[in-house]
Amino acid sequence: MKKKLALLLAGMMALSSLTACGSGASTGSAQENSAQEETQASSEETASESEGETAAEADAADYSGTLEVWSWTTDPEYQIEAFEKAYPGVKVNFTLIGTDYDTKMQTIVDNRTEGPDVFYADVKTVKNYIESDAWENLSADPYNADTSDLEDYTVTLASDDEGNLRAMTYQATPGGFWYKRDLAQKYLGTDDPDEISEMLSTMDGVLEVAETIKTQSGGATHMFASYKDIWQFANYGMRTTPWVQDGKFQMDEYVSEFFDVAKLIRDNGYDAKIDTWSEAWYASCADDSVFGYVEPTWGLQYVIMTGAPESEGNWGIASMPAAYFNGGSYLGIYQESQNKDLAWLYVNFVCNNDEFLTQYAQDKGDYTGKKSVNAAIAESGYEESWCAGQNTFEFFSSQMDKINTSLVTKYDDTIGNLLLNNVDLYLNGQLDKETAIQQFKDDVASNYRRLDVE
Amino acid sequence: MEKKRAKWGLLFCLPFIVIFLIFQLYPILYSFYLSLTFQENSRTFVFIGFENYADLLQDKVFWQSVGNTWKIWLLCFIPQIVSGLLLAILLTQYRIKGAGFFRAVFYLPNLITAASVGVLFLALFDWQTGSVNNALTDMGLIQEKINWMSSPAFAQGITAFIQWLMWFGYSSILLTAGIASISEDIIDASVVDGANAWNRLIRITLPLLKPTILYVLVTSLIGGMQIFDIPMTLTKGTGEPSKSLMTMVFYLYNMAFKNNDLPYGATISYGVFVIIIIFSLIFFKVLYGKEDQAK
Repeated sequence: MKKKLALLLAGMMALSSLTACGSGASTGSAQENSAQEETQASSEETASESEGETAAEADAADYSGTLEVWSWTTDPEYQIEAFEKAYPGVKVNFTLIGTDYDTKMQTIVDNRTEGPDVFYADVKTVKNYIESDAWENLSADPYNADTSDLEDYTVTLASDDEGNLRAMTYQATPGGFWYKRDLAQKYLGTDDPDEISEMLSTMDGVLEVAETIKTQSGGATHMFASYKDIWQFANYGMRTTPWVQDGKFQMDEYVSEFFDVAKLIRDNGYDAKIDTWSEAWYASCADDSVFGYVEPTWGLQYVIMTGAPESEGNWGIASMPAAYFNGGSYLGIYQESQNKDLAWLYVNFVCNNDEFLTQYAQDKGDYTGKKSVNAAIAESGYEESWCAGQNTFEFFSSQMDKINTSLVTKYDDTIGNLLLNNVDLYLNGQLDKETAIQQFKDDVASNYRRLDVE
Repeated sequence: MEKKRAKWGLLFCLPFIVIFLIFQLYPILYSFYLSLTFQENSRTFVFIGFENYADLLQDKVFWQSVGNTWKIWLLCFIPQIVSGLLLAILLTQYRIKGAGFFRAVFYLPNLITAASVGVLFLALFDWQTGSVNNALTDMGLIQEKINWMSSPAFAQGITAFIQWLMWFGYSSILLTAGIASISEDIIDASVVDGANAWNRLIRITLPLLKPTILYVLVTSLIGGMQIFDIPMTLTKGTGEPSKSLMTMVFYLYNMAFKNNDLPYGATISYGVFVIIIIFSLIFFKVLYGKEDQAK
């Protein structure tokens, strides 16, 4: 009996250690597989359509070699398929690093270890990599990147202090307010994006609409999933000073106002108290509990289509009191790459090739990082089937000029989250406003020891 | 002959020694070096002596994280050792049918990765859509849904509960082994001397179980001081509300990897190391001290 017990235990311990090691790797590869199938399907379309260009292909055949590309999403798979079609001599190895991508990447960059030729970074961490001198200077020889046709704000974001371009992107990510058309018709009497944009053009207007929806629906429908939606556009749209200037933390005047707005929204039941990115949040896309979401371009693909796959045609996008951008993947050439010419070929193809980007926009419905491509699609009378034929490209183009990048620092994501944590404590009644703001300052100071926080 | 055997001994130890040197000793020493530096930019580390340690001693959040870690560990360890002992005694001293089965069942929670348990509980106690709130409102026990995870006390309690759930089976198995190794002769002798079950437990089983309890205590302490994955998943990386789930290692992780302050992360890790060493020594003394005096 004891022997059996011992064996059983030994087996269990062995199992537990196996599961501990195995879990991370296996989920990663599963995702990869499903994504590969997806991209294969869509890339076949690209292939058939791009066969026409023969002149370019003669040049393309001269390139050969292998390229190492790393990212934390499956986005590059589509791009790699297209790139390999265009340059048949080049083989691209794609490595998907799911968890802790930035921790791992930052370590590699800091130690100058051998790694990828090209790697992707989320907009939140782009400034970190630029500061770590991770990427090649694309403004200099031999690259001399042509930025004239790239969306301006993406160029500003991906440039270092001297204005040298370090990374590029294939997507610009302006946003708006994605709302459910049937609910708009029912409670606001219209589902027209222009009319709703008009209603939402000021903060007072937003609150008025929220009140109307609340009373008309008898409290069943909330304007927002969470008051944090306000922060999405307020972060860069309402603040007036960068969080950090010359190593000094700046408390923006808007912070106090944001506390009040959040309180107002929570106390009046304008938000459904659902946390962003939670399961409930996705689920709310498919029912009537939430009227709409403050999300950027990719919100349609990654939030709405995921949460409510049956709701095609029931969405519209309207503008908010301020224009904003959120997210976006940037890619640059790792300085330790031994393959920089091919790496540049890849980066420039993915981010600056009109033909590819046009195809990409049509396949994925994503708003590209190139002005002329976006303009051409908008003018061609693009109809987004998910938004009942609304020309979303035209809408996003109208937002681009209003986007403010002057406030962007590498601290924004962390400091923004610290602020929201303390607003939460205020809304839950654990802290009063003064204490919460003071604690927010203390939190910033303890997270960034080298910042001067008064 | 002796020498030859020593050679073989060394040879067999070599894999361990090599791995230890590369993957443990070197990082340990390198962390110490890091903790004495200041990171000017991503690749330049300037030697600054013990300034980071001075910062650490004055860091309110660090001390709060120490307090949190202890609170969570005590909340988990006391029930864990009590229930573990109880189960071990029940399963060894009484002939319960299917004891082996129960042991396996109690051990099962330990097999699930901590992170997935964290995510599971987060879903259960979600404010608006969690099963717990839905069940309570459906039964009419509460009117307004309760925002469980907004209460620091609840957040710490639930973390301790998860830890307990995952580890009581493990400690009960260790304690079972400890009890099983107590010689039958001693028990028989005490029965002859007229000891009842309670006396046997207090005067024989528990004192003889001391080494096992110490082992459980110290390993649990070391594990408990390093608690990270459950607070991390429960709070999605924030340690909120009011930093009540900000544990020492969590704080280390945030500082080193989220805020890219490697030297300070290394400093925190040495702080944690010192705390674990001190308390391990204290527990050794407390549990073994009296015996030493008797000798």
